[in-house]
This record gives sequence, structure tokens and C-alpha cells, in this order.
Amino acid sequence: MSFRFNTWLAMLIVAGTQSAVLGAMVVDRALLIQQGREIILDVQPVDPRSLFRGDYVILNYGSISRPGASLLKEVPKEKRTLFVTLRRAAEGWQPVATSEHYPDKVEADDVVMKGQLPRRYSRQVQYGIESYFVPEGEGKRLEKLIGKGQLKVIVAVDETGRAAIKGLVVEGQRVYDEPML
Amino acid sequence: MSLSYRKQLAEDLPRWVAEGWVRPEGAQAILAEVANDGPDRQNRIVGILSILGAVLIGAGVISFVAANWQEMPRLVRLGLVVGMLWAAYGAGAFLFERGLALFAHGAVLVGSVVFGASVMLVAQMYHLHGNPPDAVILWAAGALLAGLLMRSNPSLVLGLLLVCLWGGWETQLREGVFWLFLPAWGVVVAAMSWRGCEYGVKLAAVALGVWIVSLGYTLPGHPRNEFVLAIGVAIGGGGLALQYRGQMLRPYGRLAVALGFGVAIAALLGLQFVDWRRELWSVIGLAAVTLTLSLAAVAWGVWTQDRWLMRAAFVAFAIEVVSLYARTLGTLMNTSLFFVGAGVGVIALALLAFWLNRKLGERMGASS
Repeated sequence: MSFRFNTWLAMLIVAGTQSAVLGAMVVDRALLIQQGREIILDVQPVDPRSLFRGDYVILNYGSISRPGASLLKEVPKEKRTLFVTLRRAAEGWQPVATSEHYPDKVEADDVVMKGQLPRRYSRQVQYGIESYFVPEGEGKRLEKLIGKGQLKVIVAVDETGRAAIKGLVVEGQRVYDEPML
Repeated sequence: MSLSYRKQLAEDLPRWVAEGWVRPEGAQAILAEVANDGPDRQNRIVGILSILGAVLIGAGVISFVAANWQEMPRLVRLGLVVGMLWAAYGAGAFLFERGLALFAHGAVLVGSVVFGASVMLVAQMYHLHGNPPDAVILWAAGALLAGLLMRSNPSLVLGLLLVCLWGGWETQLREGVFWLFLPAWGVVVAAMSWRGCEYGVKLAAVALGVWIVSLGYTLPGHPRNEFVLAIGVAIGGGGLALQYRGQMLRPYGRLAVALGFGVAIAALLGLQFVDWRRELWSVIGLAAVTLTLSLAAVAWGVWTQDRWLMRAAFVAFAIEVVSLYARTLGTLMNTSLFFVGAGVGVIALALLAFWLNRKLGERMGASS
């Protein structure tokens, strides 16, 4: 009898814990998208298929993804977190400062995004918004749009600098195809 | 029990009966018991098929996620996958309870794979780029939890494979040593030892060996194969000590000897053939060490009836000889001289072993 109880209890703990982890991931993202500040970023063409997750388009945010040498004087030797302050300019959002910690003072209009330098000696900053998953076979169409400069990405940023993709702007049209859940 | 063992017994028993060492009834009983391994083998086939089926179902679920099928809202897709997760673990518990453990392991494995697919689905839903290895280690943790609590070794093995994937990926990303692999590996091995998952522990030993060998090429100032060689020698030495007087840990001693040997050989090969700046005379010296070590391992394998060590040692010997030949010692004349010299040395060793055996036999004969 005790074996019966144990087996089912074990099953409940395992399935329950794993479901809770998945639920936490979903709630975390949904809150970030709902409550984060919204900015619209330009993207540049790059290219792709994830082994497990299907087709996706790689999004490159130009100077935001690769801050100039004047902003990033010393490239950290190890994998490190980097906070990049963005300011809106005529040509779109541009990086104006980088720091190792979240800046103490942020101008009202500025946005700070938390990035990672995933490779040693790399200047490429990743914010976790570099891939956009599309239905099988649709990647090429989006890539063409990116090539023509007709695609922008709506990004939600929360007060700790975490960013999430909220939607796309295609040919000037705001496409809200990212439901919160 | 292996077929060859049964065949051997069928050949030997009549002789033993004729010699009067075994009574005829005893011989019959022994043969009957050896022949009676049918159900065991069938069970193994059922177990293997059930695991393969689980792997295929898991691959199907992962492909379903990867297809990113838009006909179904994301949340419904997630609900479907999480529902499958519950169904798989539920089926596992039910089958364990009904005494159908072989199928239960398959069901739990499906659950563990579906958990991984769910993590990927959430990442896909929110276009999470992040650090992909993070998703892998989360999946590994889920598989370990399932394997431990549901008492299912296949899930533990999945956890081990995922930890290896995670470690390899991180190592590649940082182009340096990824030390966190060690504690994660330790957790997996502890879980496997506790569950008595023997093949899992062996697989883990191989994984650790690969990681240690990789240190030679990832440590600052690499190649650092001499350091790897030292680790291999230390592990092998520790294994010998355990095997000699390890009591309960003796099986681990056997494993450690094999692991240490493998690591040492890989390091020696690296020292000779990867680091091209090495001088010829030092390559020859290292080659002599490698060949001697291989022969010692063959002898130790024979002595302790460790067939796997013996085979590994033969393979190491062959690789060394072929690599050496490929590198050609200046001229073919020199190569030829080297091989003849090595051959004479090996035969001398064989003679020594023969002589020692006879001495030992004489002494045993005298003392009895």
C-alpha cells in the first residue's frame, strides 16, 4: 500500500514541479510584455533554423547590438552582463552609454537594456531578443522585409533592463501578433 | 548469461563429469539453470523496445513544437504539451503500480522529453533568445527529478546526456574551461549511484574522461596535456589502490583504473601528435611510455579479468602504433627499426611473463 502512495505522490511532485516551472516562465514573460516600457527598434538583415524550436529569423539591432568602440572601450574578457542606455534620435534608438551595473540616474526618455557578451573578447551584445520564431517556411518572407528595411521590432523593457519581443511593425503597420499568453 | 558461456559449459561439463569433479545430476542442473535465461533476455528486449518507443514519441513531440503550427493558438499548444506531460507521468505511476516496470520506464522517459519540449515551446512563444544552454540545464534538472522520484534510470541517463550537452555548449561559447560542469556531473553521479544505475555511472565516467581530456585544450596556456596526463595517472593510481583494498568501493576502483588509463592515453597521444613543436626524441620517448602503459593495462586487464580494460588497452596500443607510423620517424628505415625494436621488446616482455607464471606455478605447487 505504501508503494502505491509513494508512486503516485512522486508522480504528482514531478509533474507538478515541472508544470510550475513552465508556468513561472510564462507568467514572467507575460508580465514583462504587459508592464515593460515599449520601444520600437530597427533591425538589420542577417539569417536559420533552431534544432529544437523550428524556423526563426535572427534579428540584428545594428549599433545597439554592436556598440561603437567609443562606448565600449574595454571588452570584458569573460562573459559579462552589460547595461546599455538607449536614447531616441532622428534615425531611431541609439546607444549612448554602457555600464556594468544598472545606471543610478536615467534620463526620463532614455531606456536601459540589459545585455550579455556571450563570447570572450566579443563586442556583440545580446539582449535575448535576437530571434523571432515563425511558422515553418515563413522565415524567407520576413528576411526579405528586413532586407528592404521594412521591418521593425516592438520591444518591451522593464525597470531592471530585461527585454522581450512584443510585436512587429511591418511596412509601417503595427502587427500585434504577440499575444501576452 | 552469454551464449558463449553456455557453449563453453556444454563443452566443459562432460569432461568434468568424466574426471569425477562434477556429478552427472549436477551437470544437468547447471545446464538447466544456464539455459533458463530466456525470460530475462526477452525482458531486456521489451525494455529496449519500450525505451526506443519513448524516444520516438519524444522526438515527435519536439518536432510538433518545432513546426510552430499556427492553426492552434499557442496557449492551447502549451496546454496540449503539458497535458501530455501529466499523462506520461500518470501512465508511468500506473504501470509501476501494475508491476509493468519495463513500460513504466518508457512512460517516465516520455514525460521527461515532453518537459524539455515544453521549455522550448515557451521559449518559442516569447521569442526568447537568451542563453540556449540555460534551457538545456533546466531540462536536465527536470529529467533528474523525474528519474529520482519516479525511480527510473532511463530518465537519469537522459539527465546525464543533457548535462554533457550543456557542458559542451558552454565550453564552446566561452572558449575556456567550464568548471560548473563538475558539480552538475557530481549531482548526476550521486543520483545514479543512489539508484544503483550501473551503466549510467559507467557512461558518466566516460563523460568525465572526455571533460578532463578537453582541459588540455581549454585551460589557459593550452595545450596543457602534461597536466591532463598527471590527472589521468592520479585517477588510475587511486583506482589501483581502491581495487587492491577498496572493500565496498572495489567496483569503483575498476572504473577509475579504466578512466585514468583512457585519460592518460589521450593526453599522451595529444602530447605526441597534437603539439607539433615537440622534438623527435621526445615523441619517441612518449611513444615508448604509451606502448608500455598499454601493455601494462593489458596485463592488468588479464590479471583482474577486466575484459573492457583489456580491449581498450589493445585499441590504445593500435592507435599509438598507427599514429606513430603516420608521423613517420624521419625515414621509413628508422620507422622500420623502431617497430622491430618495439616488437623485440614486447616479445621479451612476453617471455618474462611466461617465466614469472611458471615460477609462480612452481611455488604454489610447492606450498600446497
